Amino acid sequence: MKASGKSEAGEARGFRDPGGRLMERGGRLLRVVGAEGRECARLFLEDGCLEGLRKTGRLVETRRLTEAEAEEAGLGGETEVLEHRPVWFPSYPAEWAPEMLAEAGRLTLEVAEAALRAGAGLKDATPYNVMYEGWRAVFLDALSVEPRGGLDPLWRAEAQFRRTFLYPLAAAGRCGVGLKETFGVRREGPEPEELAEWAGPVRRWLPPFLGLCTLPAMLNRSERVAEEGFYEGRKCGSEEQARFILERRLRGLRKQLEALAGGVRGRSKWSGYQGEECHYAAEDLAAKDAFVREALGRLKPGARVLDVGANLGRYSLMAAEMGHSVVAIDADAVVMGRLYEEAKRRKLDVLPLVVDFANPPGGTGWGNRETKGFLERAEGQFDCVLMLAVMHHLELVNGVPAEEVMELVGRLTRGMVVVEWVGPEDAQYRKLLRGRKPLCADTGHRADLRSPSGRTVTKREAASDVLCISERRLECRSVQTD
Amino acid sequence: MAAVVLLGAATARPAYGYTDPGSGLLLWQMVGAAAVGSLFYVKRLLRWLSPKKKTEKDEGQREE
Repeated sequence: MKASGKSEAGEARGFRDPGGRLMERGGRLLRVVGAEGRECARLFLEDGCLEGLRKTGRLVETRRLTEAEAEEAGLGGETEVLEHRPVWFPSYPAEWAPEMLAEAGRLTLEVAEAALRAGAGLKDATPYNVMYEGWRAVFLDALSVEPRGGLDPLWRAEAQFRRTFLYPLAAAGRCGVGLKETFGVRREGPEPEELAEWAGPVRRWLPPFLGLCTLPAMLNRSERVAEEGFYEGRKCGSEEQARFILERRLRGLRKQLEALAGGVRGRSKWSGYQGEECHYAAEDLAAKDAFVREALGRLKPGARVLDVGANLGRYSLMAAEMGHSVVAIDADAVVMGRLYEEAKRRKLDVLPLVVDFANPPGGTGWGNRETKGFLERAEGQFDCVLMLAVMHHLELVNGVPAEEVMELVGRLTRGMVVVEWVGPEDAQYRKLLRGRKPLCADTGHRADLRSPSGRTVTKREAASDVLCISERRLECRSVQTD
Repeated sequence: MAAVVLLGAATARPAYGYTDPGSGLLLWQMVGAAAVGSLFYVKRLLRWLSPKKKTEKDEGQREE
């Protein structure tokens, strides 16, 4: 899903596919289908090939508007208009853990395989066609399935699949180049030459890089690619043979995807934080758990919670178990990958995103409007923000005063903030301080924090709103609008 | 055999669409497809060379 800017019909959100254009209008997600996309829309909506995926909730809910409804939406006269159920918190590949990119790749291949069984094809294979609702990947692009030439044994989107799924996974797992770096600069993924460069002078000649990027990079220089007709469709002996080839190609891609996905699981500076490197005494941790549980219990079931600096997601999972929808953010891709796997295993409504709260991603793509920035998507979306043991990192590592942090948090939440303050007496705080004088003199927890936007993150002193454990202080604050 | 399968044989239709098919990656895909396409004939040959299995299968179908 992509945004290109305001138009008369609303905010245009997709313009690359000539088959149709996507737009946001009054909170509704509408897709105007052009003549080129009509057959694609029919295949997506009516052909039985995608029924299995639809039943398991892996295709975005889509319906065709009647003429009267299209007229009412200001799109009268258009040949066909579809409406998609919007994903409540959109996320993009640069914010995913590699495990999430792998899952999106699996879903893309499943759609391609289902289409092939019905004699159709998938015309593009990009992670931008997939979004997450909690841990569940959902395929969004209603115009991606297209009629296929029965004798054509090539999948046109295979190169795109390789560049946007396999290459970023290989780069993340084996070259130390994260998805943020890969997609932040290269929306369509790296070229074979770039991946070969990242692999280095020796590894590029070894599997998996040899077949993945080195040979294709060498073939880029072949004279054949300059021949007339090189890019045109091909025919083989029979439809049966073409299908045989495509089925095996897709199976091969799946094998490669699984092999590369297996290489991304690792350790990081923060992956042991909630385990062997835990900083809490057992009784302190139990008291903190009880305090956070009580605070989350004040929310209505189905409330939206943002967990900032979630680490392995102890409190994200707790909130999801209590029936809330959680977006968990952390700058560490390894811990977000593990949280994703855990949420998926337990089928809990947690969307883990690799986002540095001190430097959140902005808008990207054409005009910086194809994907909205994180803060734009998050503003006013949450009933509760958890800021547990993260304030001192923002203050000491990033140099952001507590007032600034609270001002931002006050814009994200509509109801509550749970903050854990770690003071200068704490060993972890002193470790981060590295002999410096504290910037903010620990003023954050002392007063109400008034934001320029007119919202106040109010400190309350009821006994149940404050918990002191060792050198840490937890507060449950409410947000009020002046 | 690969030559029979080789995909440069005939033009089916122009490659429309907005998806970048790659250059070296497309050629690499063609090489892979030619190899898999050869396997298709090998499998067909093996099936043809194993009449016993075929007969048993046919008999089973006839009984049904």
